[in-house]
Amino acid sequence: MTMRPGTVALCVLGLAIGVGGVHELREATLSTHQRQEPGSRVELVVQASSHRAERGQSLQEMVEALLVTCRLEVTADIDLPVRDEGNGRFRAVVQPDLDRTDRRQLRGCIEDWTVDQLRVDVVDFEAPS
Amino acid sequence: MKAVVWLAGIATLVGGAAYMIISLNRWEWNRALFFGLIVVIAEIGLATGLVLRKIEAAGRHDPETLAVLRQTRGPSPDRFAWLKESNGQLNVFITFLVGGGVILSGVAWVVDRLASKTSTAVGEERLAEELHMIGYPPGGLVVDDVTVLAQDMPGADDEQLRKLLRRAGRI
Repeated sequence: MTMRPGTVALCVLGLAIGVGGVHELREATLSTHQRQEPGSRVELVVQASSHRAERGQSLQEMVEALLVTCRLEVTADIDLPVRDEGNGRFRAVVQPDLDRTDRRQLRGCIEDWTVDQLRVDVVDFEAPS
Repeated sequence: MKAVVWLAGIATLVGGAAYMIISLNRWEWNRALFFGLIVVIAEIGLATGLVLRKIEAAGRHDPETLAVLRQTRGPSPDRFAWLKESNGQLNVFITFLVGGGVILSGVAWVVDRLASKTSTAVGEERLAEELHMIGYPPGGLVVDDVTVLAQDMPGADDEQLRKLLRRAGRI
């Protein structure tokens, strides 16, 4: 069985893309944490909306439940209750501050399909005012 | 139409894989699982389509070639053709069956006759004579007085006889 040079080149290219992709994905999902100052804080600003939510569940309750759940992904606490700024925007204080990996993990958990009927987008991580 | 279905399947596969990688990169595990499931479903669908296409291609045949093959096919052997042969008389199978039964009955009759000849009056007399050798003595097992007195003679120490006398209560 002989393979043509073009086929061999395509196989090599595919193998290289596969190996490179796996390597990049590993780098992207690898946790690299940095020590944060104990008294440091950061404010988490989110934009939330719900669709056909259960009766009796307010949007703030749902956002707080989501933040409490996602807090387990990072080594930080979230001060409750969150502050309602109107138009579905909420602000919460997280302490200590989050490193880059923790911010990505927390953003991923918050924007993921974690709580049914609830969609939350992270607007920003802001320095405390 | 088939091309549209194939394109939709491939687009679903590629799109699902892309969104799965993006979700993994964004640390959105639930979305990654969902898109991974979409990828698996699309992959199974495409693989099934490919297999069915191969089977369909293998099933296509040339009618002329098929006709030639059928014409040149040898006759299938009929292993029970002899049962169909009949000239108005008894069938061969029935003849064998009845004849075999008659022969077996004759053999059984001969064996029965030979077995009955093995127990004759002469044989019974011979058996009685042979059994006499292991029978009881004419007077039975009771020990007579002469034998009892003979035990008192010096040197007449017979263990078997003394056992017999003890059983009879003579000593």
